[in-house]
Amino acid sequence: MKEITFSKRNTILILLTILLTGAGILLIGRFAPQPVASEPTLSPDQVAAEEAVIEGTQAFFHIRSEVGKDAWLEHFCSLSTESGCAFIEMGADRLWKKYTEAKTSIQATVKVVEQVSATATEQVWKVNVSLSEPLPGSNKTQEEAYVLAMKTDTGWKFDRFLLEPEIQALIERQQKENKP
Amino acid sequence: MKRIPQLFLFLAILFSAFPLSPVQAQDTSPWSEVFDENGNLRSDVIDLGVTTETPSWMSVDLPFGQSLQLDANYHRFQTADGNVVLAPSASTLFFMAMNPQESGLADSAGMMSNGYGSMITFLGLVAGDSLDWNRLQSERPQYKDPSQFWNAVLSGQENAWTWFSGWGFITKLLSMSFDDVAMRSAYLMYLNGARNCALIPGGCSGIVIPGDPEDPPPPVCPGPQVTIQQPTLTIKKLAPANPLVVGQDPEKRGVDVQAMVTIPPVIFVWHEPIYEEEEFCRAANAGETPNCKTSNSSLVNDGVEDSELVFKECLRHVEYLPDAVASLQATATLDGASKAWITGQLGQTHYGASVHKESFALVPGFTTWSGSCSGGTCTAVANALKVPFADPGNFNLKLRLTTTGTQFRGVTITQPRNLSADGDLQVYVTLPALVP
Repeated sequence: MKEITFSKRNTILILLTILLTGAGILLIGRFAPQPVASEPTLSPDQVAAEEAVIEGTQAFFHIRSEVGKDAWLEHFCSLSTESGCAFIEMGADRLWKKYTEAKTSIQATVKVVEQVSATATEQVWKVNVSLSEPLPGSNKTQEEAYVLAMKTDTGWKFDRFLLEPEIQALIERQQKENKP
Repeated sequence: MKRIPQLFLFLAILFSAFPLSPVQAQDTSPWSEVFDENGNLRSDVIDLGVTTETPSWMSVDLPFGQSLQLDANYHRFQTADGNVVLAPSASTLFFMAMNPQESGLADSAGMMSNGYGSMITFLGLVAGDSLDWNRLQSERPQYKDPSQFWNAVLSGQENAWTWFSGWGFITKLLSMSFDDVAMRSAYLMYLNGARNCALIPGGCSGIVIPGDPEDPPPPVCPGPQVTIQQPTLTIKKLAPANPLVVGQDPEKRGVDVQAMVTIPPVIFVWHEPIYEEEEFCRAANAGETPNCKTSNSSLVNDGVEDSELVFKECLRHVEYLPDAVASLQATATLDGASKAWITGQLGQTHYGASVHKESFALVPGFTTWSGSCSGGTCTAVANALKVPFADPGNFNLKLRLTTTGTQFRGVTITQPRNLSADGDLQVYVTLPALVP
């Protein structure tokens, strides 16, 4: 049997290497980014619809009476579906009469809470809307809304806000689905 | 997905054969007053045009307590017997179905040929794919097919809003025209609607007032006929050809805008019964002295001479009734794209560019209107001269007016009409450019 001999110098080098390697592992472990609670990755359709929901809702509540209804509609319609634009356009005169009288100047911040429903062509998102000040006839600056985004030829677009009975039905459906 | 429309087509055929309408079949269908045997509108049906109103049941709630008041549109017709038939727009019909009591849908005599069967077909076509049928079947097993559910909705027993799993169809309804396939049989009949016009969708706008049922019609003469002809409305720029913003025009000329209205007469045809007085010999009453023989077989005078009116013919009269302009308004408003261009693109290159005056009340305001009637045709004109448009871009011109309605011998024949027309005009600006 062949005898392996270590010189004193080599022994010190080996020990130093082991020591440095161990210290390195410890340091990397301490400073490396900690794994966070895993979040489901959004699909491209979800990302696009989420963006459409946020932009459309912000455009809808970005009201500056001095700029006027037409400019507001033009901006909103550039972010909404054609039919969603026609829907709002139909009632815009009466809505804006109120805003003009009250000299409304409001901005909105929209945060997505969750996706509530999704098909290949429709997605409903629950969002939290914060207004810079209350709208005429309201004293609230924060409210949840359920927004429908539709897939169009030019991508996902804001379509409309869901109505109260539609929201109630969605919530009930979610509660039933979450029951064990 | 494509099976659902096929299913509804099948159901439509089925319902046509076996109506499930709450309206029972009549011996003589009132629809025969509306369409001829070829399915065309009868010539004696009066086209009342499209009426728009803003009912509370078409109000859509938005976040923060806001609401969107949608317009209800109905193309309406009046039959010779005073029934009113209306063809609602798709969105109107859908909201009527969702609010059958408030909208007056429940008061109608149903739809053409099969009562509410066509309504169910319509709901199936526009919203059938969006119905959460699996959930509906598990929670409402009593419905064996979607038509039973829609029937319950139309009867006010179910709230359809809670059973959708697709929502995009609501806004798409707005893009459906009156000619859409889903709308082809979407005519609602309101029996005696002309007399009760205040209670029917669209109200009394343009309704031809039927004769008083207390007055018995002449024995053999046909009833009156009313023909409403469509008016011509225009609002347009007269001069100059290419108007400059007034600030750049050395002459400060401004723009001439003209609004013109021509309303042809309402043609009212009525028939006058012509009677002739004829003498005859009637039996003498007690105390009367006989002075004639009641028959050839009478040997002595046994009757008294009397006279009576005997119907001879119907004299046809054609009246050209003027429906004059009662009020007229005209406005010009800079459109949103032009405002955005002024404050955006123009503002970036020309410091301080802003909108000076975005809207003008032309009539009344810049001028007043004048009108007259001749030979039953009524005209109105308003020339707003030298309107100082100070902003470049496209101005939307709007003309709105109401008429007086028509009367004949103190009796209202047609109700006042609300008419409108739009136009536009372009105002130019010259922009200096640096030439190298």
